[in-house]
Amino acid sequence: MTVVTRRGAPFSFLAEEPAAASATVPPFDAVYEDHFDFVWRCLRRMGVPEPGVDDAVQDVFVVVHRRLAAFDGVSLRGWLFGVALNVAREHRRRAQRRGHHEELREALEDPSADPHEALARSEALRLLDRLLDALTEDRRAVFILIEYEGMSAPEVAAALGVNVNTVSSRLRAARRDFEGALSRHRSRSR
Amino acid sequence: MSGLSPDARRLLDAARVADRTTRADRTRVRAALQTRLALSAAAAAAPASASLLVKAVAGAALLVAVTVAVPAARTPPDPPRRAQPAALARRVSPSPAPTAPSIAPVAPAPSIAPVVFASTPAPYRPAPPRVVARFLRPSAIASPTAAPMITAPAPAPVESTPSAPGEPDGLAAELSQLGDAQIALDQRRGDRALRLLDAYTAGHPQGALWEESAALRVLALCALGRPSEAREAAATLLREAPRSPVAARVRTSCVGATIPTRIVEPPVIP
Repeated sequence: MTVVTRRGAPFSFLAEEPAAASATVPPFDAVYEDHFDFVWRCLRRMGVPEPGVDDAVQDVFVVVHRRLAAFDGVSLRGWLFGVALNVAREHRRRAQRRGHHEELREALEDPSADPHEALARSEALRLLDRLLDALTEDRRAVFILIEYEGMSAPEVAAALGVNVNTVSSRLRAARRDFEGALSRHRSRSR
Repeated sequence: MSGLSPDARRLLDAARVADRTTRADRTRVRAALQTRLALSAAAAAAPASASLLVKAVAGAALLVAVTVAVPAARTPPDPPRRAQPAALARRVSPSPAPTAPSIAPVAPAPSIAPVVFASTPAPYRPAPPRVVARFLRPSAIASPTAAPMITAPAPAPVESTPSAPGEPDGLAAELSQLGDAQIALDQRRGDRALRLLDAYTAGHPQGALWEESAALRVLALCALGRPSEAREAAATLLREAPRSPVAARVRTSCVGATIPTRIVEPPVIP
């Protein structure tokens, strides 16, 4: 068979070598093993629907595979969160395009799901996600990283590319929003 | 100090306990990821390039070859090397090429585990998705007896390849759009390239390939003879991503002499 291709261009401007990895760059395998849970959690808590989280995790690690050499060695979790944040945005948009009905149907049709286990496991998470939905993305990110993942404010500041004061103010606002949403939820539940 | 109420704290604690992945989750995702990266490695190992996204979009078994018309001044010829982004561009034949590049079949996907998880940590040379998805079609299949690559004289109208299940169609769409811009640029249609890049930016304000988009914009502005705008675009890119793989290429564009080689680097936000 003859090869027929269009005259086209893989990104030919990439004619230079990528930056060499620093000595602090861990191997990809280690990054995957050590941070799989973190990436998964961040994606879910940043609003990636359950049915799409497998793909989203893959997307994150594809990007990591491609860009690990550019990691600056400061905070791997912060760097990974930056990747996950971008991927989560895209997956949320995709989920919105597909519509919640389809997501729900897929979730309900998941043959691997044990209804009882899923219910017990997901009750707190579902509520958490619902409350997190009340936060803007900026505040949500800070809230998750500090309150849920236990990262320090400077680490979060580096991860998000903002200063520590900004992180503090976002955290205060996020706590307020979260508490408000929780309070409203409790009121409705009574 | 938390600053959260006991009620909120209890909820977070309960959620954290429940928020655990299983071994099955890890294994399932790992297998899928290995497949994607193995396809990428196989594509990068081929004489002609193909990306993991391209491969995944069109099917794992497809063999692809892509010709690239790269002005010699921009990308001097260099022997192909395995799994290096630069090789994707250098592997192609600058015009005029001493010998036409031939298409060999893409090697079968290597055994997965070594490809992905035995990656060398440093220097790390990931194989990026650098080829446009729509190049990979059933018609673009190389056989073991493949003839020299045939370059179609004119690109077909822009179109996108539907994503395969599980494929990050967002990334594929980004890749496709930027590929269109690259084609326009290679056709010396800088104005069209800019329009396509504007459309990309509007559609993907937080796109995963924003660095590539920004670099293409610089090149398009250079091609249009708008160096001041090119410098501005380059400065923005290099300020935001000074260690981007595309930074070196930008520095060799029309703005090169005016862009500092070292820039104070902000925190990495991929």
